[in-house]
Amino acid sequence: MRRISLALILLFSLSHLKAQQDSVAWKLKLKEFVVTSSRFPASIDKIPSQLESRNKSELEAMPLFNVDDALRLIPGVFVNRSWGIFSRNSAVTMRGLNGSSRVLVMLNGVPLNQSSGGSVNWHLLFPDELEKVEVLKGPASSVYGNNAMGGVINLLTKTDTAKLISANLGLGSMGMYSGRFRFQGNQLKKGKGLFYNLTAFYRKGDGYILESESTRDSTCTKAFLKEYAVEGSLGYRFSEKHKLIVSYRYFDDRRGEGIKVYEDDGTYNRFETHFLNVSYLNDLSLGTIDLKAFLNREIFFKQNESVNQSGVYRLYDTHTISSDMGIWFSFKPHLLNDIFTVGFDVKSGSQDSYDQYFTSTDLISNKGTLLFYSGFIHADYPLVKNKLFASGGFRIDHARFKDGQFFIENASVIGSASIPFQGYFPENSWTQFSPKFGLRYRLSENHSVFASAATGFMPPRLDDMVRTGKIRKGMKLANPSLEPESITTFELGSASFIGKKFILKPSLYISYGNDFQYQVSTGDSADVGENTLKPVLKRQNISNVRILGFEIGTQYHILKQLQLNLSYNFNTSKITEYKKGPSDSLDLSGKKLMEVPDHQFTAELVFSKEKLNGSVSYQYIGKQWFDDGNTIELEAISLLNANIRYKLNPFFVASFSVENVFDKKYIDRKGYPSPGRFFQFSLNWSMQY
Amino acid sequence: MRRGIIFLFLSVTKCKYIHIGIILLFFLMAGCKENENNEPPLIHLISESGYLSNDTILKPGESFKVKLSAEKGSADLTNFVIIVNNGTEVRYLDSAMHSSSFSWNGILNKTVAKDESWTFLIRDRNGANSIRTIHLKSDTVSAFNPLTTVRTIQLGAQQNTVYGGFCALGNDSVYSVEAASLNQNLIDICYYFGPEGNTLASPGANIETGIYPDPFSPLNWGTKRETRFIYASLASGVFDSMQNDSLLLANYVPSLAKRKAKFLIANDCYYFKTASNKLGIFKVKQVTGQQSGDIIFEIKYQQ
Repeated sequence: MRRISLALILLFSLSHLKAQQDSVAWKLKLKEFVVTSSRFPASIDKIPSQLESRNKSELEAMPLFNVDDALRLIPGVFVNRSWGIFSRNSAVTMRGLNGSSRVLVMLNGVPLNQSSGGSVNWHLLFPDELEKVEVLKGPASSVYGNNAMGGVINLLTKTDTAKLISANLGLGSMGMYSGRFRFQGNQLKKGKGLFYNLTAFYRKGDGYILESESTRDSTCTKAFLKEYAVEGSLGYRFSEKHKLIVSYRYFDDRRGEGIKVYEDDGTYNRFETHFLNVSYLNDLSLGTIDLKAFLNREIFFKQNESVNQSGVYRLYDTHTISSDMGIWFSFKPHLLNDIFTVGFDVKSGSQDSYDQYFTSTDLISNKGTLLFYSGFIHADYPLVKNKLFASGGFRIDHARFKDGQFFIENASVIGSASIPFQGYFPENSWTQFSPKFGLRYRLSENHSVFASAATGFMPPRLDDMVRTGKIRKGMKLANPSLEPESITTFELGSASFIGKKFILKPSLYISYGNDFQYQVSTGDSADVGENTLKPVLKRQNISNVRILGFEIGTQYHILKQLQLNLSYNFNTSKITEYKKGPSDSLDLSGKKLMEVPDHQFTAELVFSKEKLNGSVSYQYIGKQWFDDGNTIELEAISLLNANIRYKLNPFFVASFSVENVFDKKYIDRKGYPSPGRFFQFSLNWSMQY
Repeated sequence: MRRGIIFLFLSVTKCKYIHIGIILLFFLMAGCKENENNEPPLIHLISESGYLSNDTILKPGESFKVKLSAEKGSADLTNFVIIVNNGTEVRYLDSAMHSSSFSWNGILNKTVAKDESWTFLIRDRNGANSIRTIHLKSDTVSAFNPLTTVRTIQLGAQQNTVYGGFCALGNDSVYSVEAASLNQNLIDICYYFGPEGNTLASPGANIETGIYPDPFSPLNWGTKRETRFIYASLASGVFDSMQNDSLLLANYVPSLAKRKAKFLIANDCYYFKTASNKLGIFKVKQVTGQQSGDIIFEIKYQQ
């Protein structure tokens, strides 16, 4: 069995190599090996869950401006990036659960979700670094814990060690240009030795004005973009199954928000991210060890500049340092036919933030730390050889909140409303138990069905626990007593390979969520410096939800060079119980979750012929609610995107991508228009040395 | 040419660790910070006839004039604050700007405290600041100022055709909107019924569009005098017994004052200060709401 396990690892590695060499975009993937279900390679046809992937050749055929664009056409995944490449970030909704913090996103198996705000900085990675994307749908906290409620997205970067130099130049609309340089190589002798790479990336764009012409004033300016990144990794291969990789990436991103009064660049966000990852894999006689240590440190700066309705100018800076560091240890013992995986995770997340006002004297600070200690056991067991596969396990997460505090110095009218809430917060802790069980039954070589029950949870975000201050709706109070929200999902699905040309993967699921967090009015109101009283709100565990969904994904291999991918997704996410506070005028019972489209349909035609490949894709995103109270509904959106890629000679590849071909304008939830049609031409040069 | 490039990179890779060196060099460069030259701003109290720039003794409530100027240091000026401290620190003024220089002159009033300090603070974009302070002592021999009482003022709302809705305290007169627009430099208070109920506002307030006809609306006035109000929580009978300005001086905090007194009902009391630097207080005697209604209030203010 140990040999089989090793063979799986080898096959997984070989599949990477093969994908690089293969220009055909549509590998039919019913028996593909994936790493996301249990942290070790497993065959997709034995996993009782829906798992989608996009390999290198498929990714090359897509118009990718950002990494999250690779997820747009995956059934059941909704990517909200309404300002295109100029968006501050992207929000990914899966399985009817809105917000990136309800989906776990990993980079090479290391979590990217931050403890401070739960979100993921999708810009950290440049699209052509991607080797493969794996998307495990449905809860997976039994293996991963935090954030794995709607699903898990695992971004896998290139692993080849060939001696290669490449450069890429991009030119796009709205003043966009970019450059990337990559140098990779090795000092391998008989499969042992060093391997390394270094990548540098730069992108700049003038952007567009977010305000419509009728409401524009002198403070409106273009939402620009400037970003650069450096990534380097150094690895040592002791043997084929024993290696150590250290990688580091630095990312500096500056994005305007379309408002400028006096300051250079106006209101803008700057993210400086340091991401260090140490990965150690060793196949011993006892079992296979996978150890990952990581540090994700984000230094966030925001310059806030505005003139309010009364004509009062305001300028303040927000400084936030968010750090997540941890060690994930996974072990697959060579016992009982390699059925078990066990793991222990330790993680520390912290936030240290302050707002410094310059048009008043306020200095408002907050900080806090969340510690997680977790252990899990997972088993994949063939109950009936080649027919019935069982998979399941559980995980226990214990979290401790500590060092929480919120203080105000030199308060003016802006900060004075928060003074009663300043001080040190009491410690808080909770324990979460997350089981999962599923069965997949293989009806024949090409047909299988599965059923599963799985749980997931999202821990409270540090920012909600420690930050008191102004938000768009009024004033938000910190709640250090917040607890995680959780979900249980029951799912039925199947996978069929029909006539060697057609893959059909439908799923039906129902989820019950508990203790979902909402901002609830405390009944008080406060003047936060706008000459008017606004409601005081506090995020609390207040509601239960029910999500009913159906999704179907198909791949039709029309010709050798032509493949059609279709997907449809329906879900209805409703709040079944809303525990109103005594002063809460809003009752959300029966309301739908915001930012979750009921219907989503995608169609993608992928073609590939020798030197030419590309795709044309259509995306329909149904209506969705803008607000918790379901009073404002966003219109449905239809988008057509296209990409073509041509290999000019052994060294040069040219590509042309168009997003939103028909220049459809739509309004996002903040009332800002989309950028409309966006194109990019790029030229890639690569050479082996 | 291609051979040349290949040779170049082959040479590079012979130096095994040069790329590591590049990464380390990058970190080093990223870690370096510019040596910032952070000059603070400057603030001056101007010594001119009639303006106070040094410590002195004043009567409780006595007004004094201050004139000051400020210039930027390394960065533009962004915030000007006046803080009065008489045992309790209160912000008298907190204003925002973004400019290389700033000047201010205004009339201030000595509080009822025995000793107090007035601090004038200017801050810049870098958070650097500069301050000047004046210390005042009370002339305990002198008494508080007596109040002028105007027994009743009746104002009509925006569609009331009987009573005018604009009041000038300087000459105890009431004007219609048309007449008020011709006497903009006199009007201290106006009355209307709007989204925030029965409202007494200063012409300089953010009066909602559509309340008054456009040609005469204070929104379009060239001169908008600014009266500011603070709700007064008074025990029964206190308003009637007020004879001097001691309570006004003690309770009117400029930084807390608003340009509107909203949702007025009978017996509501508000402290106020006019653009002429006169402190006062009013009490609502009767109010009949809606656009054609009226309000009757009693008013007392400094002579």
